[in-house]
Amino acid sequence: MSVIKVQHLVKDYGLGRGVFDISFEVPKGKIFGFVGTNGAGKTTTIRNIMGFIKPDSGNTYINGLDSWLKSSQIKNYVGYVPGEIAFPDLRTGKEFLTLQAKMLGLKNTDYANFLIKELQLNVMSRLKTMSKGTKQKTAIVNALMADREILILDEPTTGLDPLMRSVFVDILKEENSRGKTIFISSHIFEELEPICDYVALIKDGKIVDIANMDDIRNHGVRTFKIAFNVKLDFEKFQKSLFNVKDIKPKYHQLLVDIDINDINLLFQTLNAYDVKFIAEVKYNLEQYFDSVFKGEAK
Amino acid sequence: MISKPLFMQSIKSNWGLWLAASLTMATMITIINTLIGTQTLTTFNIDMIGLMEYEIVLRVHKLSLVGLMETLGFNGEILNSWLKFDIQVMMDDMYYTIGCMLIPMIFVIITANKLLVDQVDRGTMAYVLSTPIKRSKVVVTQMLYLIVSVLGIFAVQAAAAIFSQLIVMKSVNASHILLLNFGGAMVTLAISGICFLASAYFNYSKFAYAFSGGLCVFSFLAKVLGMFGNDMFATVGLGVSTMKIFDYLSILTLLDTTSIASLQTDVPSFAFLWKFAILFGIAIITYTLSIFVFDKKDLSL
Repeated sequence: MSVIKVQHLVKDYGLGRGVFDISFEVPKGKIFGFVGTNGAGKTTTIRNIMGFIKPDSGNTYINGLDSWLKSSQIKNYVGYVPGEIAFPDLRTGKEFLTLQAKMLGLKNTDYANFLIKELQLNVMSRLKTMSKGTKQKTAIVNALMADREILILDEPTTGLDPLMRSVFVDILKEENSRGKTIFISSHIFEELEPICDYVALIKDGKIVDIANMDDIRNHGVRTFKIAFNVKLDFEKFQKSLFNVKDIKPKYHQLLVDIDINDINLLFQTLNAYDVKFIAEVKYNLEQYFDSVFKGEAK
Repeated sequence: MISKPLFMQSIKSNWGLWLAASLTMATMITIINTLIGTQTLTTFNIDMIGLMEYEIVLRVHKLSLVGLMETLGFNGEILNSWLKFDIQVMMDDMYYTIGCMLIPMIFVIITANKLLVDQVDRGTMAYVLSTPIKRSKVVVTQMLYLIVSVLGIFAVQAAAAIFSQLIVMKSVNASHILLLNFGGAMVTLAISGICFLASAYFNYSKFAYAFSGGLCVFSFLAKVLGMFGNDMFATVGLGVSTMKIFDYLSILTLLDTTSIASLQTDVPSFAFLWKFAILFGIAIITYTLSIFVFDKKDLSL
């Protein structure tokens, strides 16, 4: 079952800005990454999902409820980290979280305290003088503390140092293992790659493709970078039956695409060559989307 | 209907300004009462018998006091105006429609904008609206805070006015003071409704501030200019009666202090009542519109 559903969503801000007829679904219990450059339409999509703005056409649903029409009802299922972090006129992080807890109708703050500890958040620091990272942590605690079944996170890692980033990723994995559905946007591929089940790429308000991370992780074709010490070997290898690409004669270097079952064959063949080095080029999200773009170009 | 935590938060983040406004108003009225409270202000010290003697002497020579005044360059009506002139009414008018209004207006401009558009513009509204609280509930809560705080300011001022008059003059016309302050509150509520609507309508604080600030500055200046069209000023040559047109352009004019003062006389006028009704109407309409406007608009949060 899809807990978040976006159907033919259009929100046109003019001058090519906005989102144009995008559709996707986030299955229950999955982590869905949403990646795109600044201004690609990530936040516009999220604002629609949260029911903050009204679609020009199309709909978004959370647990089957229309985001715009049932905008307050859907908040019973959603924890949210906004893209821009600005806090109300209160003194400390604690005051803010206490207020939010009241508005969320939260009785038990155990989980909030756990998160505060986990993220090493100093809740007594003043909201106005907080560093970006501390603000972000506060926003994250606010989004997670109500233990909602769906998390919508708009670039939640901005401002976090690498250490906190990995703590945060661990928390997300933990949340996900408890059955939560997570929708997370970012402009960095690497950030989403290790945790997501699906990653959608949005560009100029349109979804270019939605990648299933399982397919990428278990990609049947491996790519190796091989460099030869001798020019002769380098040229001879090119004539072999391997699928060679990206040839760099200056370095006697090339790439080989090879089916995972044929790896032994490759090594046996290489026995007869004077190899300078061999390295696997990991197939990742970026390459996947690159190939999607190239496919489009043709 | 309202969200209690949000209401408490609004109090928390706005109480300083409210207190400053209330205390300033209370101090102003106390100073005025202390300074002029002991003086007789109801009439000029016109010697009626002496005046009559001059009248008789002039009449013998087929002249009149009116003629004398006109010869001196005054409007012939000046004597009648002087006789009818009540400086207490004048003071009330100056204070309650101009003097004291600047502070509640500034309070309303800032507070109305802080309650909605500032939070949308800065993005802090995202936290409120990511909880299951309905948008309409948010507006009604903020609205209630604004209304209560406006009423509170005038309640503080009324209390200060009554108390200081009681101490200085040993007697007090409480109902008159209460009515004037109620009127001030009604004018401010109408203005606050307009400012609140601007706060609900605009997405950027700067626009909302420009609109509500512009409106208040205009109303205030128009009322000041209108003063120069006041009959009293016009007859003594300190004003031009056509300036009165500015009076009709200012919402502050809807507090009819003359009519309220007439309640103390034998010929009471109740014109202030329908003017209150207009103010009330403006407040109801603008506040109601605010709910719908905010409920239906796009919020870039």
